[in-house]
Amino acid sequence: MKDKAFKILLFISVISVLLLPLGILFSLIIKSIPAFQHFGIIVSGEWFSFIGYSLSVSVLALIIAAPFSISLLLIYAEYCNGKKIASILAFIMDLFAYIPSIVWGIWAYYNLNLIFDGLGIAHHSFGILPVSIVMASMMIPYSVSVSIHYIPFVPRSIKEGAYCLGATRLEIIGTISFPFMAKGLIATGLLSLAKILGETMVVVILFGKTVTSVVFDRFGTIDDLEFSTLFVLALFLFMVTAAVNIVARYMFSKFWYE
Amino acid sequence: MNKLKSHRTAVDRIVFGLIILCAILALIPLIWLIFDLFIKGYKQINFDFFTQVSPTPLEAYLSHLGKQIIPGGILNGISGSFLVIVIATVIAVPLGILGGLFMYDNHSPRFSSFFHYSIFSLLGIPPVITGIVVYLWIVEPLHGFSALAGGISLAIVMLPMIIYTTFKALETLPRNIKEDGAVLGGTYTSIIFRIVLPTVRDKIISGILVAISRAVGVTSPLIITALGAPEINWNIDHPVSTISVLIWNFFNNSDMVNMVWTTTLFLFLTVIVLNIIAKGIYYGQKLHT
Repeated sequence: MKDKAFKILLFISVISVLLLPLGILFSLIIKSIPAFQHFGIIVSGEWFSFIGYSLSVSVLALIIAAPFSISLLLIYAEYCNGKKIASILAFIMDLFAYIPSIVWGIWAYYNLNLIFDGLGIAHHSFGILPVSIVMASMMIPYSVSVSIHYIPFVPRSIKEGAYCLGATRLEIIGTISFPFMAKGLIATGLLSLAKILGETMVVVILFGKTVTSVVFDRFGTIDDLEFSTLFVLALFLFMVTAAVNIVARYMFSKFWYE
Repeated sequence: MNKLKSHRTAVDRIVFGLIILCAILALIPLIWLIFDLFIKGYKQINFDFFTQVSPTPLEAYLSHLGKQIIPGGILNGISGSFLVIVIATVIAVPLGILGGLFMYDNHSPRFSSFFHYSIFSLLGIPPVITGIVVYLWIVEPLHGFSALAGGISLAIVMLPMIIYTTFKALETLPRNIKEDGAVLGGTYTSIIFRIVLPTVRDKIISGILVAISRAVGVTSPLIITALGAPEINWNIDHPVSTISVLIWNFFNNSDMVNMVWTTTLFLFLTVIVLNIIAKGIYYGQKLHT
């Protein structure tokens, strides 16, 4: 009897969890219908540029963050594997992975102001490059923490075999570790990309032209058509981040169970 | 041969040097952030900071003119954060643990993978979208910004994290632990509540703490749904301020720069401390078993 009740409870909670993403998708689509009716499928002009800014900031931040993240990962997994410094590094990265974006935003705003004033550059908001650098420095701990937890590393015996054949550490990394971790690195990159795309407060404070910041800034608007267009942007963002997350997590789980 | 070898080791060393350099460069922003927060944030730390509500713009302007410490504190933010997170925890923790159990213990592969995908899509949802959706669902029908709406948007942020950590924790259990329970004559409910869940209790608690630490820092959905309030408020149908919303309010007033830094330092330390406690619980459990 108790079993039956518990199973029903389990089922109800699962259904409500399942309805959540569907409900979000449904609400976003319903609200964006007026804009689609007015503009057609292709979002025009100004709105299109927001998507462009969002994508360029994210991709640039990812490119900037990649070498640093990979260096930290290699120090953790290859050079200092099993040593105390590796666990300290993992600990620091885990702690910083969840620093709220508003903290980074506040820190970056005042310091970039100081730097820009020091260099004597007049500015209203900051360009794509400074924003991407801030995003990248925010992304590095997250991506390292994700990759440490989710990427399976090369078995020690294989590496020892390579050392016996006289390989240097670099050759082991290049010929064994990288091919072994490649899938995981791509999945980590995708997850980080989705995270930067969805990041709000940093771009609201520093830049204000990406999808998230436009949705945030103009949300109080009364104009019905513009309000609806915000939901088109939100719908786009939701679909992109959801798709990227699903693909990335699928890649992790695929070779996790191999 | 010897020459070849030395060439290879030289390349190895150069690359190792570059990697160390990159790692040090990557740590610079983190160290800079910590030092900056402490150096610029310590000025406002006093007794009032934790016991007074946030200053009005006029008070801030006058103290800015007189180059004094800004009066007031962030008590309304602390109480609001507490209220909103309690609401979110009450919603998200039971649902999250049940969802995690389902994810671990489901035998229909198609439905299970569908469930996985929806959790993955929820894990990546940008906070601002949570905010506008909760605005549609709660704020508009109830005709007002409220702590309840803020709590629900935080629950949407926390829920997939709790489900996923519960699932990951359950996955580490031996596969036959349920059969062992059944052999002892336990019903399904008693196996779950007396064997499966207690075994992974500490991991789940640590996952909940990490989810809470994430929720403390969430800003944009709370500005959209809970709006912020200048006074302490314990009604769930009234607007509240949280720590992160206060940072945003202070940031928009140029007289309150010091207040911004101190509040940000407070938020930073809160998140770090919650994460350290979560880690401690996670690894403490590992030592015992």
